[in-house]
Amino acid sequence: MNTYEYILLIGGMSAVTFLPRMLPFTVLGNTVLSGFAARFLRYIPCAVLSALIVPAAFTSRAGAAPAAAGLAAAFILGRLRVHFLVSVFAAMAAAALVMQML
Amino acid sequence: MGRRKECMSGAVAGLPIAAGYVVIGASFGMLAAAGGMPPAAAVGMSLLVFAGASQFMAANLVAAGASVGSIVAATLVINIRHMIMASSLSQQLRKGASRGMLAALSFGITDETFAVASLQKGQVSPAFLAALEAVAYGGWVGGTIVGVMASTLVPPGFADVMGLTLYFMFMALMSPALHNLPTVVAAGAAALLSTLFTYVPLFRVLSGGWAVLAAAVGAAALAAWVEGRKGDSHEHV
Repeated sequence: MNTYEYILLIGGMSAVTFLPRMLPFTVLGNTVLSGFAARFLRYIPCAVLSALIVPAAFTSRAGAAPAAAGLAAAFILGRLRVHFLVSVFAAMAAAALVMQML
Repeated sequence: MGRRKECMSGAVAGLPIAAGYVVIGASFGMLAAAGGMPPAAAVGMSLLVFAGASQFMAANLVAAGASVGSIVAATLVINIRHMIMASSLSQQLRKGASRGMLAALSFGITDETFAVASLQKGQVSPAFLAALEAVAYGGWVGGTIVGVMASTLVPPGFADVMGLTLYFMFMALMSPALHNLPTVVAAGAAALLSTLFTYVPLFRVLSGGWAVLAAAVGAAALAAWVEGRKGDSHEHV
């Protein structure tokens, strides 16, 4: 990717990141969505996160087994309401451990 | 509370976030450098995007040779959840801030700053939020710089584990939220659809960011329908 493309990339990423944060924050004030729209938006976070994890995590350079180990650790600790950072570090440790054993 | 006290309070609240961001930002810096991204691009991304998940995704996609358009689309999909967070946080912010101030404050709405701000009792002031976000931002950008500089010192295997950090972050965020049928449906359906769009030839016209977007939209619609049919309680995800 050349310099021009990097400028386009960062500019584009910046715009599509900032606008969804800025528009509701400056405009929304007193609007409350209801019905299907409200329900739909409520499930977008879980849906997006899951779609991002699967199948990409299992096809990355590190390998499927370390990925599975780390995801399992993060999932279990998340269910146990452990602090987010602890879950992430534990997951990284689990993945590193599995990588060492392979 | 006077404005100075509010700033101090916000800054203190932001310190744990900054600590985490230094580490995750350094991971991003290392991953980006390992994938061939120039240091200026990685740091520029942290400065102008300030969204860890999408930056990790972008680093992976750049290394894989994806197009600018598809990476920007993927970024939109990953970060669109901040629209809901911004909407929610706007109701908790003490009124009186100017449009310009609101716009500036909105830049710093991330998963972590949103979580900390939302957990404050009662309303948060613009001063508190500004200080919170500024401290977090400093950690993120600082961490990226450290990561980019340290990348040459780190063995390749280590960088690969860093690449997985992104997915562990996602899981750590998602897992506590999977507490009722519709959310489990949303996650399960999204995983299935995403895999389908990635591997089944018929659907491969959707690639990268578009596959994630389509999978998420389909799964969320299904989950919304499930909730409507079952009359589930309206718990926030």
